[in-house]
Amino acid sequence: MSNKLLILILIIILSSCKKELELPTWDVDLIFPIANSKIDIFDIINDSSISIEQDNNDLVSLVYEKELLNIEIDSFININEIVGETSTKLDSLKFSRIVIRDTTTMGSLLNDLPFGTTLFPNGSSTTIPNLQNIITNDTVTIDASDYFETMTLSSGDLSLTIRNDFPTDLSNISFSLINSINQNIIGTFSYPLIPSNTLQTQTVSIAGQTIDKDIIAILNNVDINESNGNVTIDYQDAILTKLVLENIRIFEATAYFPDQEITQKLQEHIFDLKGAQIHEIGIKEGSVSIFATSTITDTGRIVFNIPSLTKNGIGFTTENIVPPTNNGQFAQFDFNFDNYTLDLTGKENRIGGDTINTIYTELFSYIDSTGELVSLNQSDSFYYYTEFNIIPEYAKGYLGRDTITFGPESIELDQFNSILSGDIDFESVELNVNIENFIGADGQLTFFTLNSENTNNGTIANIGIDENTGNNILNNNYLINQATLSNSSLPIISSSQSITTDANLLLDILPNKLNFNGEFILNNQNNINYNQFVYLDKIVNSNINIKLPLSILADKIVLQDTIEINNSNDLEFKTIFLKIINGFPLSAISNLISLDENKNFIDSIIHNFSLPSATVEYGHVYQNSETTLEINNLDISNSSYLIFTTELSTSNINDFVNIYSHYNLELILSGEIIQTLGE
Amino acid sequence: MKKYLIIFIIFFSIKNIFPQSNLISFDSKISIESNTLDNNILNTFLYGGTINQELKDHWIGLSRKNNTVNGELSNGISFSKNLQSGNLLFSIFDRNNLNININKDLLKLILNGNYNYQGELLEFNSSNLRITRYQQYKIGYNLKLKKNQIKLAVSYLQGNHNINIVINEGSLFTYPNGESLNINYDINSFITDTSSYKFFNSNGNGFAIDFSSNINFNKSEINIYMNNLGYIKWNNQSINNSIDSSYSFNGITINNFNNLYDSILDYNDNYSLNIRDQNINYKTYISADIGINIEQKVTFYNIKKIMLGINSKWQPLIDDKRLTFNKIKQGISESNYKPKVYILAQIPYKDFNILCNLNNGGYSKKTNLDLGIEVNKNFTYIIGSKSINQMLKNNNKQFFSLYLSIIKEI
Repeated sequence: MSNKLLILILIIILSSCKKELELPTWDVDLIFPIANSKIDIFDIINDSSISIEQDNNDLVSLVYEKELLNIEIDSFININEIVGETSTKLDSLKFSRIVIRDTTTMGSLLNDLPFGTTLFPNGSSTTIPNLQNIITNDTVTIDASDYFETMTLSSGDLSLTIRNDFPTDLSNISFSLINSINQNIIGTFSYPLIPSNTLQTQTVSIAGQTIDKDIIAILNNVDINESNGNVTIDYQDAILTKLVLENIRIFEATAYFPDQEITQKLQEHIFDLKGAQIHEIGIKEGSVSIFATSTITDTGRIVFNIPSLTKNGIGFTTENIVPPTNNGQFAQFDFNFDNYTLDLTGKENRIGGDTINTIYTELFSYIDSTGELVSLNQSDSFYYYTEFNIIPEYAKGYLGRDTITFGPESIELDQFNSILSGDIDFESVELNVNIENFIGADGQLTFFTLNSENTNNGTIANIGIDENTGNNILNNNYLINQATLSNSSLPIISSSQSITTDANLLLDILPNKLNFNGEFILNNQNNINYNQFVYLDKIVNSNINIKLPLSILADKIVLQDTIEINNSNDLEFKTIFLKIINGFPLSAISNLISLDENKNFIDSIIHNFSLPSATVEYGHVYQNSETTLEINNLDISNSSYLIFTTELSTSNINDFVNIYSHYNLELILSGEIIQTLGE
Repeated sequence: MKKYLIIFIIFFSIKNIFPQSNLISFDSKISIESNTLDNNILNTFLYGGTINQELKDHWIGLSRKNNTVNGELSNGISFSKNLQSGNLLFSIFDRNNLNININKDLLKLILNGNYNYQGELLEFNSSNLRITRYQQYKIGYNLKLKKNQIKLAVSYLQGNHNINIVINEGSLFTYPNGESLNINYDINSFITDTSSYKFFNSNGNGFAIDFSSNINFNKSEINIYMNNLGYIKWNNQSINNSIDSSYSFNGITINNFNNLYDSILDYNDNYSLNIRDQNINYKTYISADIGINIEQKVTFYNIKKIMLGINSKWQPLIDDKRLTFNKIKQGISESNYKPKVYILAQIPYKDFNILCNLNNGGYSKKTNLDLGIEVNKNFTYIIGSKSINQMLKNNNKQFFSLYLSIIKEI
């Protein structure tokens, strides 16, 4: 029992010692490098609009270059026009000539007479007596269904030709054509005498008549005159009749219409190019659209040729089917004319010689027979027009006199935006305005305004004297000669004009804008010359180029930058160390403050941190300065913005100091964090 | 589990196989000892809490160049059968060992970070951590030769889990204001299959041998022994990570302020840790005891028996080198154990015996008093502590130890 008790006690004692296991927590104080960098002037000048040059002595110059203006004059030779509106109605449709023939032989005629073949045997020689009313009211039905079902005609002629091949004369011949449906008489014909072996034709108008496919032809009377003595009886001798419907114009018809050309339009069209007299355009982008609509139930077809629009020497031609359309909908046919050449001298071998601004087009319209009966009406029509949209790549010919104004325009300059105050002076600043003419015509450029502006304090500095001419740049007419082509083809050899001036005054006001306006006159002399040209991707360019050698004198230039921050980093630094090894002859006093999202002040992170300049002797840095900035308990967790302000001064504020390309600034950033382990 | 049940049943069936007088015992032992760190640290690490600067300073003040922590928890059952020529021995033990050697500089870095050591070289060479859990199945025979005895035993070791981290070389130099860090390290770590983490999972197998000889010499008895000399070969699902590098860390080098992302990519390329990891099998040694003692029966006050001895541990870190004298020295050195010299006295009383062992050395590398009480009733109970002097302290204990044996003659 005592043993069991002892074991029980042991179990109780051991189990009572049991506690929940947990990890301890403790803080460790860590310090480590975060980042390092060695930056030179090339890294500091981070502006795509500024390039850096260095001379043989490594002196750095900043070069700001920007396009000042780019004159565009393509509008006057753009062709956006609708041409060739044409409407073709059905009354202009042709219908084929209809010919119906009939033959009555002597044999068949004698056969119908009592004892005819007995009295007048074939091959006999006898005298034919006078036979009155040998044929009376002989009716024949003519079937015209191979041609039409019905036609109502606005005009048309019906002619009947009778040829008498009998050996004796015929007389008192009377013939009628009657519409079998409404029994209207289409036409009557009367021949008093048709001598043997002759023919006679009579024509009647059938305008306004409605003719159906079944026509009744009635030979009302034929008399045979007595022969002149004995004649040979030949049963093959015949009376031949030929009925012809021709010159038909229809009001309406249900018929088998034949293939036929409705219209053809061969014409020149003159484009209005606002004074320019162009003989050739190279098309950069272009389209021609043909819009067509037809109420004709047969299929329409158009053929459109522009012989003067060529690509690789082949003229443009197209043929398109225009299906029957309802409700006036247009069928549209688009053709891409990119990279075509458009000859604007008019029709080839035209009377009067070549012209300008003119194209020659050929448009043919057809209806195509479907082989089916089709009902057409006089009001049915076929309508189309052509729309040109051409953006030229180039134009050749006289370009006309044109005045193109530019501006007032402004170029934003943000290079000095960060500077709040202080004095900065540059030893020299050279400004060049280069005007380059790519047009094969003379021009004249005039600046009415060209100045720099500081909108913060309202100061404006005008550009001064052109060092090349000694004239004031403003309102001076700069003549720019025409560009030329190399052996009449590309590339263009441009001509240029340069303006050079000292821009210290322009930059002294720390401008944030460059304003200008003026005009460019093309063909200012107005001498008509058809050898001019313009390639529209390059017209007249003008670039401004400011070269700023970094030989500067700065006295308390205050720069400010606002940095928007996004707090996503869990690391909170107790201390941040920034070691700066300064190899520039510039000193700085810096401040950094944090702001909340409403830009209210939170904390001063850096207060008047002084970064000494590198030591300069004989104009060159010979010893870098070394400083460590220590920021304690940096907490930017509630900050949305950081404002960094620094006051820069050159090492010597009386003499200009040069910035050389090998100068650099070395930054070593490290930080101390308290990290709790075991959590 | 079925396997363990079968073993348990076989073990208790031995009583029926050998009907003569035998002993069966249950042994349990827990000990945590350190040469420098005390129970405040242990309590903090086991039960949580905040390690404040005062505590850190205290620990660093206590620490030496090398700071050893050794922990053992073992429970087992033994059976001894008396035969005419000796004893047949069986035992099953579940063993959990923790052995850590932390370089003082590493302790400083872990506790304080590197801020306070700017301009100083911190070296972490020869720091290591070993955690092993395994079961030991032992069978042996204690051969009685007139007055002398020779004992031989072999063990099968079933390895469950092992973590082994060895810092062969390591140093950190922090430049003032942390402008740069010079880092040098050669670290090897081995860990058994982390997807197989059940308590009795088998991730390795090994064996160990015991040899001892007991020689009677006049009234004295000299005992030479070498116990648990063996190793476990862990299977090829184990993971080996090794990193070996030396570089100067300067943070992100920004060449282009317009494109910081590129700089960060370059930074990642330059400073990636380049950890080589692979699945391998590897070998670890269990802690072997090698020693000699002499026992003398005396009559001095109540003391009836005294023993003088020296005990050493042999446990090399991971390697596959053959056994040489150098390796013997290496195993002793890398066991993190200082050879322990001891004197033991047995003081019998009416119903109990007192076992008193005064020693110096061991993992604590200090003088400790091991005091146990043996109570003989129907069962024999032995309960005690290997560091009663430390256990009686209210605070700053550097050695916590309890052991319990329950023995029954059957």
